[in-house]
Amino acid sequence: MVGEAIVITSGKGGVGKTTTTANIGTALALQGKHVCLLDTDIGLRNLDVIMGLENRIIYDLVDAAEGRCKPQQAIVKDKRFDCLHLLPAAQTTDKSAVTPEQMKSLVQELRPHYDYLLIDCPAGIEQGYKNAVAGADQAIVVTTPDNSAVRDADRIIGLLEQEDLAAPKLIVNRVPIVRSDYEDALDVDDVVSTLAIDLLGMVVNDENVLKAAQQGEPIAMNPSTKPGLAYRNIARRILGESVPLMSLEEKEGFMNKLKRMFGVGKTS
Amino acid sequence: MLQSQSKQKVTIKGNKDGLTVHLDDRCAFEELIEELQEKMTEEGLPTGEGPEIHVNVDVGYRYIPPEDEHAVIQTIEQHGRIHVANVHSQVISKYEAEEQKKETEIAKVARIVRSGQVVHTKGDLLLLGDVNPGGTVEATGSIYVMGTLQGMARAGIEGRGDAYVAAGVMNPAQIMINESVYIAADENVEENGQSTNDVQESPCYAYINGKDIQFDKMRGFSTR
Ligand SMILES: Nc1ncnc2c1ncn2[C@@H]1O[C@H](COP(=O)(O)OP(=O)(O)OP(=O)(O)O)[C@@H](O)[C@H]1O
Ligand SMILES: [Mg+2]
Repeated sequence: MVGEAIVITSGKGGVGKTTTTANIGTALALQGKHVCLLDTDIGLRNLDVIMGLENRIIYDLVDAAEGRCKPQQAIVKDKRFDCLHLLPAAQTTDKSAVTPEQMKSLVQELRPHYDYLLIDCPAGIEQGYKNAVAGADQAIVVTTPDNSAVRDADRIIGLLEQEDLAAPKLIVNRVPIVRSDYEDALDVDDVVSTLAIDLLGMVVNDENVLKAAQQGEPIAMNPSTKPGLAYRNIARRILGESVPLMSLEEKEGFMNKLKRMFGVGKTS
Repeated sequence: MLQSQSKQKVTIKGNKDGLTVHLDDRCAFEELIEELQEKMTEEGLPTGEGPEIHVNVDVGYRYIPPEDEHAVIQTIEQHGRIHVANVHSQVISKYEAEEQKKETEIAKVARIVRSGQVVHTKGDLLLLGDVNPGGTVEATGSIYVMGTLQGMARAGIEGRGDAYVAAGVMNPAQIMINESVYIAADENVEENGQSTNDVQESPCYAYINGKDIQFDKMRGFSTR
């Protein structure tokens, strides 16, 4: 195996990088892929919590990077899937504890054992970001449909363009489906046209995402929820299948319905 | 020292533009300064109070670097009433020539100028792409954004007031032409940061009118 290393990044904090990492990882594992999740948010780890693995951590990424243990020793196996592993972040040190070179060689060492390595990037554009990007071949940019998140995503895309990576892909997270949420949100189409990168998928805003995370079971386990299905579709797109952007269509349907209600039918 | 008197290295001529000091372009620069020095301290030059006399200096086909130009001006202006208006040479350095060429060229850039990025050019800038919020384009000449301008555009940054900014879709956060500034009005920015300024969806350009920046639709080439 020559694992593909994908960094999941955003610029702005709290837009759903960790949620995305956990869920894409779970969805890929559901497809039988060997996946390792790397938490590079050193000092603020929480990928392990979302995966429900916090009690099983012995060593962490900093231990592995600095050679205090073998990478394999630091890896925690998922409860549900044998093929899903987690390399947790250190909780005690800070982001400068690891260098980009160390990250690169760590990824290099893990690569042969997996199909995919998903690197959860911390917010910001400093050391933590540089570490996370160092070992990656590809990038997924996560944003929410609001101006400040989009602006930060744009900044990150600009920085990613300077790296030796494939063109980044976009996930728009927390897209509102409830009508009252609409007011402030940007249209996904506008977000995509501003950022001008390929849309890998969109995930609706759903409180079940948080609930699932609190129970230590990523929502991707539950395909009867919209976000759960969205993450599974994203995973299939990563695997090269062409899955139509279902939620986008649904949303359009909703908008059209609204328009029809107010009598602004499409003129063509 | 024996000096050839056959040809003067410094000659002064008057014409409709006023007085012009012609400096020979074949001799050594030191000889020029020497003769200039003699001339300027000669008796018979008007002295005392009176209006300032403006002269032009023509160095012909001599390349005159800034320090030499300075020496010429100093030597002439030691006479209190004479002021050098300009020093003219038929020759410029390759560097200056390239800079001047850039000034009249159109730099074509095909990319998206993203948040935090700055694209700076000499001359005009033709951007085949968008300027996103937080992105900046700068040019000493005019700027043409073929896509959407949502960030900042600064045209005529070295003083060209005739520069303009054109965009396919005009929704800038800020436009600066020479020293005039347009800033998207704050009251038109909603809570979510979304601008509700009059977005010009059809191609539009901004130029200086008086001191302000004015926007106009592009209706062909007859308007300006
Ligand atoms: N689609 C969604 N619907 C509802 N809530 C969501 C969704 N995605 C993420 N959240 C919630 O948003 C919060 C932030 O998510 P998350 O921790 O994944 O963001 P992050 O980008 O990793 O943050 P940080 O920058 O702090 O690392 C969490 O409480 C999460 O449950
Ligand atoms: Mg996170």
